[in-house]
Amino acid sequence: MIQKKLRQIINISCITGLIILLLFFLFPVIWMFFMSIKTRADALAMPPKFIFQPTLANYASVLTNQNFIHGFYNSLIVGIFSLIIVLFVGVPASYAIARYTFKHKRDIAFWILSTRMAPPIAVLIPFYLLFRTLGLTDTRFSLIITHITINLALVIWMMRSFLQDVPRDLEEAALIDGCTPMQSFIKIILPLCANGIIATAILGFVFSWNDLLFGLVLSGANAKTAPVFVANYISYQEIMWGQLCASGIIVTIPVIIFVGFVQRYLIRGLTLGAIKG
Amino acid sequence: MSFLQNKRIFPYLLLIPSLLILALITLFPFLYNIWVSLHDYYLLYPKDMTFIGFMNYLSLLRNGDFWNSLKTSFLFTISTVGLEFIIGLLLALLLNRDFKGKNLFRTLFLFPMIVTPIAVGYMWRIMYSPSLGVINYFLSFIGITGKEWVADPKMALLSVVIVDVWQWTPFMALIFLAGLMSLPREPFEASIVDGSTQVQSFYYITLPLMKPVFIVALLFRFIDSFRTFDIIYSMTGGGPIRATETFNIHIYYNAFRDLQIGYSGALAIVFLFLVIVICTLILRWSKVEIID
Repeated sequence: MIQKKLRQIINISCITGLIILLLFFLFPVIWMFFMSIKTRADALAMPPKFIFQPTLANYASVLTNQNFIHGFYNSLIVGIFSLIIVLFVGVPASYAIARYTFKHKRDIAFWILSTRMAPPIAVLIPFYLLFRTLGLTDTRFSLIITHITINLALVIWMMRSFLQDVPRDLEEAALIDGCTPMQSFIKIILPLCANGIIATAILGFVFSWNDLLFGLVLSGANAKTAPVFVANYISYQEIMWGQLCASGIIVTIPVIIFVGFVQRYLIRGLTLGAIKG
Repeated sequence: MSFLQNKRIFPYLLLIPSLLILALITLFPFLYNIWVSLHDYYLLYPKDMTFIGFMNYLSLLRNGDFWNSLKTSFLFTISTVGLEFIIGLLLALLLNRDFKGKNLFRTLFLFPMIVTPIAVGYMWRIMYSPSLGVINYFLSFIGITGKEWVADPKMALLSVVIVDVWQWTPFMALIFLAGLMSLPREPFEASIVDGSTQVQSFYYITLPLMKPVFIVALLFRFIDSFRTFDIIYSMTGGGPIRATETFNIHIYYNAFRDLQIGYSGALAIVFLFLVIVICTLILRWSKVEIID
């Protein structure tokens, strides 16, 4: 009897704890959404208004801002092209590491991992000087090149964990049937881990999309990315909270949609395949 | 074509493009940073660039702002990663129980880590607003008078720590949850037979078995917390009076506001060195293999 009571108390307190934590972790996002659909007067009201007449004016003014649209477009181009490069060079490397033994394999694997450890600022200073010398600052090209550093380790290590899940027998059968190693990789292995490639690509795109530092330093009016646009918002329109929140929400929406697709691979991606989640 | 079919050469063939890219994104910046750090180089006068040996390294050791930023970084990193670890473990244990709507809960906790970081910073800045912010409004209900938060040099670091904890605790929790769910059942069944309590089996079985998961989580959080940029840049810009100027922000300002490229190169090398050493220490000390 006492045992049962005790269990009930534990259950209730666990659920309560979980709900309190959930409120803490969700409230800011909800509040940001509220702010984005408030008029200027409502957003600055004190005490804060929880019931108000919603408006889409903030979204309208952000979405009709040519600079923002341009930034959104830049982010898209940079993300897609840097990812194409990374996938193109990274997936074969990842296959070599997952399947073959060769000299210095551990060193190469660690070298790749070290790009995830290295601070972006240490990469940024030399590349900034290089692009300055070449007259390439404020181009999408400079961002595409530097964004490779964000995702190379992710692609190679995450793909490795997917490739390891593919049974070896398939390649061996293909080799016996007369395929070259390259054919068996392209025709047999790649189609089998298409899901993994898509998940990896989506996560890589999200990391590229969210980057602020590279964009801030390497881009001016021309190649400005969406996060850089948001970052500059406050400096000249100090108290446009509604618009600021609306722009933040709009920048986040693609991420939410994408992560929705690959939710179950999110932890695998964030830990570079170390934890399968 | 026999070249392509050679099984010994094939893996290298697959690796070559990556190795070239790796050289471009690691060797080039590394060597360039070292080279530039040995020079007195003010960006606007590249012609006045002069070789000064290790002077930049000596002057950073004598620079109070350098030490201050390092101290701030370590304070920030240790408190964020520590808090995220503890709250994350608690959250993972709560989520690991059986209840209705478990999956929905798990999905909702993803939100903080997928909101674009720059938006996270501004959102909290708005909530922290001393006169118009919702946080002081809530605190007034429990009799706490309004704080200045990010505007107060004494509270600013705590304020950004709270935001980082908000943003990344779910990451820790979900890693831990994945670890908890993949634990083997046998040791727990055996311990019940042996009559151990839940607390004992948590301490003697769960924690040791979870060690590799803990290390992976700590490693990744250390790397990212130590280089935090977006939320600090958007909330405080390193201020007030350098209270939140972490090492990363310090280098950013030296390089791209003060344009002291030579000196910043030296700082970047120190940063790289610190990160590599600490990561290696974590891996050595824990004896966890992440490269198998």
